[in-house]
Amino acid sequence: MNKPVVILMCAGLIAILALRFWSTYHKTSNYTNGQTVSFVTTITTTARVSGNFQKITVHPDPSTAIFITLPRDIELDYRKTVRISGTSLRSVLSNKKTILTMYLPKVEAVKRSNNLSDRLIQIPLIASRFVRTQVGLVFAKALPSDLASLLLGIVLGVKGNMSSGFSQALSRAGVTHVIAASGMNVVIVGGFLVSFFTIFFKRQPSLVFAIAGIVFYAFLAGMEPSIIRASIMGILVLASQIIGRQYLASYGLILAVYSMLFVQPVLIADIGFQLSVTATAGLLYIKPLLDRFMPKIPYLGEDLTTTLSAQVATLPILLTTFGSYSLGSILANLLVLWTVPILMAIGAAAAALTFFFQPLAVLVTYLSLPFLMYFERVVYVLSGLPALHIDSLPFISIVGYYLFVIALVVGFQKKPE
Amino acid sequence: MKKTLMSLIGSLCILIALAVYQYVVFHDGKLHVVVCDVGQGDGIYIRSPDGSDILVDSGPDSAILSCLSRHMPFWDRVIDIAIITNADLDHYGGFIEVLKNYAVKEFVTTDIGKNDKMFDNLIKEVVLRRISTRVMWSDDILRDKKIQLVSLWPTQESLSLVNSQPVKGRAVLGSRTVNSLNPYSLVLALTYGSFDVLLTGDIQPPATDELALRIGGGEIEVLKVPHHGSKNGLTKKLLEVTSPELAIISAGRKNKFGHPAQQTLQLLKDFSVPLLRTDQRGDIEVVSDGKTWIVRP
Repeated sequence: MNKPVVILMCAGLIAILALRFWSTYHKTSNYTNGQTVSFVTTITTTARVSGNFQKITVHPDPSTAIFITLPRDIELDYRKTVRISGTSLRSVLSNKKTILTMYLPKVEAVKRSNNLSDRLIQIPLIASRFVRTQVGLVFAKALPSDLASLLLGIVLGVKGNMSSGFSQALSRAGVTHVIAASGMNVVIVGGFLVSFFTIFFKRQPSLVFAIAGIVFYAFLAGMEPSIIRASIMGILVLASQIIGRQYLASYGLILAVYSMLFVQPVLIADIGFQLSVTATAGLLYIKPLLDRFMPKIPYLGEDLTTTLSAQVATLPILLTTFGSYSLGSILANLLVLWTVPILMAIGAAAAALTFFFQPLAVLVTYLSLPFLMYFERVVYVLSGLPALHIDSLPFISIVGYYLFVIALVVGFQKKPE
Repeated sequence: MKKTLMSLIGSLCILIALAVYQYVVFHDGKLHVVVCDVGQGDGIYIRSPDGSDILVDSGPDSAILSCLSRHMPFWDRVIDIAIITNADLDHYGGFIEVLKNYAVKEFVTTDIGKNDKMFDNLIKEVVLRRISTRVMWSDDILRDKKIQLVSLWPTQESLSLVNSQPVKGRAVLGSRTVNSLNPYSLVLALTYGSFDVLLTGDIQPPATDELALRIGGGEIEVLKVPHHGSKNGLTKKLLEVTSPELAIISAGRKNKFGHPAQQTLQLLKDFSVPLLRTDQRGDIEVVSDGKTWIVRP
């Protein structure tokens, strides 16, 4: 394809996306402090359980996000449609951002039109809920609660019922990302499924089954933006093998971001989405540079450049969102990241055995205990290190930072010979 | 592949070493009483010298699980007796999580429950798991081979004096309820040899003074201060009759109630009772061989 056509196509696609954003955001939100509101919404993310409560962000309309707190026994499954009624409040966060909140509003399930797509989506939803519950029970039988939640997070990206102390320690140590299913999980799951299916089938059907497996894994992981992004990229890798085309990760990332924003423009403000996209971009563009220029350190080389490139790419988002950056974060990642593939392997084996012979699944889960105890110890020790605190980061400095990083990446990129 | 296999073999070796270490540490033939750091609430784990596990209250949420995992061997998933001293969330909330992670053999409480949805959820779980339940009044005794756990409060007479209402459809864990639960909080005396601990739940005056009258006299070693150190809990009379050697307050860091109250701290100071607080120290573990006792550092 010649260059002007490509440029024209790109401009067209950007214009379509811009139009989609305009249609979403041109209406301003009408929600005020103390207003009694009632709206119907569909749950598109997973609630975070904290003590006897669960917290979730919902969208009464595409341009409004409300952070609601509910008793933990209310079921908020992905794609469930509910009516939420209560009082909206404007709350000021510690980083001085103002958000809309609702505390213990009334939640009623709304029966949706029983069309085919709604009924079809119920199959993976029910199956994934069943798998999550059963695997969670096995992990809980073998491990202390925080460690069971950690393993469930590493294997399935489910946050589980982690104590607030451990959850905060993970955050302060800068390793919360390991309990969000993302690229590494999809690579391992996809790789395993392809190898498994090729034992029984030819290559092409095996790839198709592996794609189906990745889609189901995304359901298992609660359809968070990070897992959707990673799944789209993973599916593109397998699809390119089916049709015999070369796969370029950059195009995969662009396609994933474009399609996700087109379907759900509000994702642009979602921290999980922002972190997932920037960290992946960091791995694609910054890591090769670091691998080239940094001296190789035995045992640490890969993990060090992976951690550094992801952190360079996500730093402004971390600072603006959390107002702090843990100085122990790089060390914490270096010390725990090597355990993640092993824990995923043990956890996946135990998860699979759960459906055949539970006592054996419990025994296999025990094997993860030493690694998890080590992980927990590192997190608690390094979460005590001082953090860099920033009250506010001007938008212009964020733009300047990213322009500088992009300039470095472009400037040092290998020229084709 | 080889690396993963080596890691798994290494893990198995560490696991065996850990099991041996924990077996030795947790089977020391002593009584362990741990006032868990459960935030704003009560959660007290007792490991008797013969290895049975008793949980008196569970705090408001899953924080109790972290405490249990710190003080029980990793393979032990059985709680022999679970006791609810008070049907308020900060005493029973964690039991819903405990039931998901541990097999509980028996639930013990007074006949005074609470008419709310969260408490109903707990009852539903107890019934579903067919766990036996027992109502406890003053002078009832729970014991194993070496320790004795006696209920000192509430008396059946104290409840008959107030207007309690039956809870519709409730057969276990409190068939009746009252407007204020604290005066009917279960109070337990734990004895191992010459070592005595008084667990006071959320009892508040004038019931605290009536309890003091019933106790009459005799020194105790450890007092769990009533009602998280609130000004409506501990009284001079209770300190006079029990003369504790150590007081422990279970309260959350920067809790919204301002517990423990200045008056309570002053009262303990006036009686020169050393004080430990979970909001300052985290879990507080007292270990006794029946004659001597120490606070584990």
